Amino acid sequence: MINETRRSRYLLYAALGVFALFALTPYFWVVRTSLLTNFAAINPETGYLPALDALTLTAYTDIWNQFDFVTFFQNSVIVSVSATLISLVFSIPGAYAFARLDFPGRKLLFYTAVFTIMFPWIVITIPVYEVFYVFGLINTLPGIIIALSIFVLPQTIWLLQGFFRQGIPENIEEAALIDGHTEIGAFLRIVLPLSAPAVGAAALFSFLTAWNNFLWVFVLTSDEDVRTATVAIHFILGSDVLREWNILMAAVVLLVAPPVVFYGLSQRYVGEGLGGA
Amino acid sequence: MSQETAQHIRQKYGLEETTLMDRVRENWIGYLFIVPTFVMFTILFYYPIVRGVFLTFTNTRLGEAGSFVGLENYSWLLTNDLFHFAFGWTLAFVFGTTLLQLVIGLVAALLLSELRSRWRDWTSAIIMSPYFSAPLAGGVIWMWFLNSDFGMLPMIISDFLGVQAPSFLADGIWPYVSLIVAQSWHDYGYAGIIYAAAIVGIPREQYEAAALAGAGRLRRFRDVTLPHLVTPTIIILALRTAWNVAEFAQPFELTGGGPGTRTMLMSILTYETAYVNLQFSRAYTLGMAMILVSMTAAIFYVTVIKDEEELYV
Amino acid sequence: MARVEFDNITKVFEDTSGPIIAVEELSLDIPDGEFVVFVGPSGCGKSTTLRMLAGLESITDGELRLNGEPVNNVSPRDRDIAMVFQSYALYPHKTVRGNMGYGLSLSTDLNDEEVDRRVVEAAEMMGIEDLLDKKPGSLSGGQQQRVATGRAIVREPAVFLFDEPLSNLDAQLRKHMRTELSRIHSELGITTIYVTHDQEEAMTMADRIVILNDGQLQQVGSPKEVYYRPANTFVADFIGSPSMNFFDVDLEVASDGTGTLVGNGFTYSVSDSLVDLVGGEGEYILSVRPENLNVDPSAPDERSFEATVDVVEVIGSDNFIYLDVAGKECRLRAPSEVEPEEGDVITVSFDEADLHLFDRNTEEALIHGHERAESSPKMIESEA
Repeated sequence: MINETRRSRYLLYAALGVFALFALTPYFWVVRTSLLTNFAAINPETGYLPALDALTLTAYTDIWNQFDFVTFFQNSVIVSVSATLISLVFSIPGAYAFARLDFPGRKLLFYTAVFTIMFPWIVITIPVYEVFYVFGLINTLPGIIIALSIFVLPQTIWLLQGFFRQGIPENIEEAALIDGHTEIGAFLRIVLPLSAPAVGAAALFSFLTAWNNFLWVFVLTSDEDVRTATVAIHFILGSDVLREWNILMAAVVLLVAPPVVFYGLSQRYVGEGLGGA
Repeated sequence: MSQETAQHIRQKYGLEETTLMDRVRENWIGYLFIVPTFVMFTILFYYPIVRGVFLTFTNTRLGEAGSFVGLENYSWLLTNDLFHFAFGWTLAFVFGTTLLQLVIGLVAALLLSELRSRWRDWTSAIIMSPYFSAPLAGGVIWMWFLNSDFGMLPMIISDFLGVQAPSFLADGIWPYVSLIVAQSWHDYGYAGIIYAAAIVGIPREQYEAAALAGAGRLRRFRDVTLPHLVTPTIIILALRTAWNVAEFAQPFELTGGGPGTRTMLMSILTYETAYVNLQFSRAYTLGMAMILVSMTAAIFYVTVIKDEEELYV
Repeated sequence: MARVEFDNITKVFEDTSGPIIAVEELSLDIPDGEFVVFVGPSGCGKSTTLRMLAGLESITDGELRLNGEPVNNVSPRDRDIAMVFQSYALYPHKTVRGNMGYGLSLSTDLNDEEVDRRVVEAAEMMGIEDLLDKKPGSLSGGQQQRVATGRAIVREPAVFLFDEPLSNLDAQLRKHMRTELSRIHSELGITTIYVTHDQEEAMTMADRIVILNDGQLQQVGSPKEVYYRPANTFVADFIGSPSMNFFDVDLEVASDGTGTLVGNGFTYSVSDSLVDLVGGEGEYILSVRPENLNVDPSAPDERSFEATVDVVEVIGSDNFIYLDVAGKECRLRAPSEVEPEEGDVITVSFDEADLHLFDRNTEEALIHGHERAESSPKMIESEA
């Protein structure tokens, strides 16, 4: 910025370095463990930075033999993709209505959407559990999918309505109406193609939020075959069997890496999405 | 406009005869677009909330319909020592984490804003990365990082300070500190991202004008940057308060309310009451206390930021 | 080609604070081929009226007819209209060619070649044939404006609607586009309704000007009519720049029948015939256009007044002189050689034919000086 000096530059780099250290050190320990054999992982002789020849990928290959990680990750993907698709189908028209249409009751609905975002979800799970219990959705993938779709919906609506408000030129639907579209045609043929980047960002957000979610899956399932990776890690950690830390940490890495990498790659969208601006 | 003239206008143009159907017909496209979302919200949000409030006046348990018990659950709640403790500790936890997240996020955003934009994206991707990891994984990561036998931090302390590290998840005040620090680690990125977006949006000319007027670094920060950070601060405070109250996965994984019930948070207590003890009505009664805190934050947020276009999440 | 009829059109918006009348009982008949400009301050209802005509806003009451057919409930696409928006509303993801041809391929069954032929034709008319394969995002404001206009031309609609199409351009470009739009109108002869808040735009382009205020029709007339015969003080004030001078005056009629307008800081004798026309003593508003005031030291006392010079604005062709008449601002437009010093006291006069008198209560026009003064050259001009 203005009147900067070499010294203030270095101070800046040093301060950012401290931040990076704070952010990354806990990760580092996990990654380190995941790259060692189980014995080396808990052996105090190994040191902070293990020797190169001590590193091994066996933990990552062993994951797939031990436990049902294939099922768990598969479930994670199925659940996240489905929840993303469903929430998009609902949120695209909903967000559009909030942002660009005016009708009695819009404001009220909009504010309740704000409240849903801030609501303590653990509380909601209780009556929802009842409903799911009645409909036989407990311990089923469709049950998890429905719950997660709702869970990511407010956030997706939010992100999209911000875009519809600011990213779509004024009067464009009206120009389309005059050019010969119906209201729905104008939305489908003009607004939607223009929204592709925002819809993509919203999809990414929904996917990762669903992927990261623990609470709903944990509450709504008890069977192993419908577990997602997040919940599986919790159960393995809580089980009494001899812990294979390296495998567990490898699973954590596989769980954490996709969102962190995706968000990192889509930095710009993240700022815009969360920041609304 | 006075009531009378309003009446008169409506009468003159036949507006008071407009029925609900007329309004629906005139705005059908808006309703058509919002109906799916509305239905979704109703099934899994509006109805459950109402149903939950109803539950608090019954003794419903999972799988068995309860009977009406009046205010019994609330009197149980108010006389329950664990609730008192959990509520107090939750407030402390929320206060501590929200404040830490706000401060760390602000400092991170300010530092990042000084970087050239070429490096900024990548550096911020790294610095903000904890926010994007699964909260449950956050719990596992910190549990491992702080583990008394194999954790990195205890190892560093004994290697470099030569003293035996306390058990960070069990001894004295340490579990509380650990929970707050770990939670702040996970979520300061949210504050950082919101602040960074706000700082990037400040017009450069304002800094240049201030510099021309002879303002130094600190003064520029106070007079130019700070005023632009008021709205983001309100947003972060409100949303993070609500979300920290609701936070479940990471503390649940890190200490699970233990040792014993020494770090019991409202969210974990609600979970255990509902799904371990299967006392749904009592659990929702506990939840009412959480709702109270979150919704206070929500109402604060909505009233302070009146213009809906400024609302963020 | 179309005739547009507004028959008692009313628009009421329901706001949280109650109903708001945006347009009240507007009646207007626009013959085929006319260029009509709706002008008025913001919030006067001009854009709402245009949007009702476009079908983008519902009509609360009254009937709107296109070529005699009621169209209140006809959707925009079936009204055979084309509209140019202030924001242009170009489709960012389509090229200029795509933007211009889109309406045609949607609403007609012309084949692609035919559509393209008409797009190229319209592009040539607007001078944008080189831009056809560009996206709107890479065009300047002026070019985007041309594309938006071109998109309307291609349609060859029954009615053209323009909603403040030039307000986002700089002054010079705006003037240029003004003449260009006029040229297009005379070439195509399509009924055109043009909304602006700029009275100069209205004066230069319109066959007829429709002046609105607070949702109510103030006056409809040719530019000259609204200039020379403003129906009320609002129109008088709104049309013309710098705007008209207003003075509260009393008409005093002496025993011999001679009339004098007495205002704060001046008196002005008027002819007997004017007294007759006005109908005797009373309270009026006298107004005179800045360009009709003269600095004339030799003017007779009873037909002039003294004023102190506040500010002189030199604009080249003319000087705008801001005067103080007994504490009230008065604007005068003088030839550039008349350049008094600030603080000078000068004698100002005007021709009786140039005055306007309004009723002080209703603010409606009572008389325009030239209506009486048959010999006034301006009268002849205004009839021309």
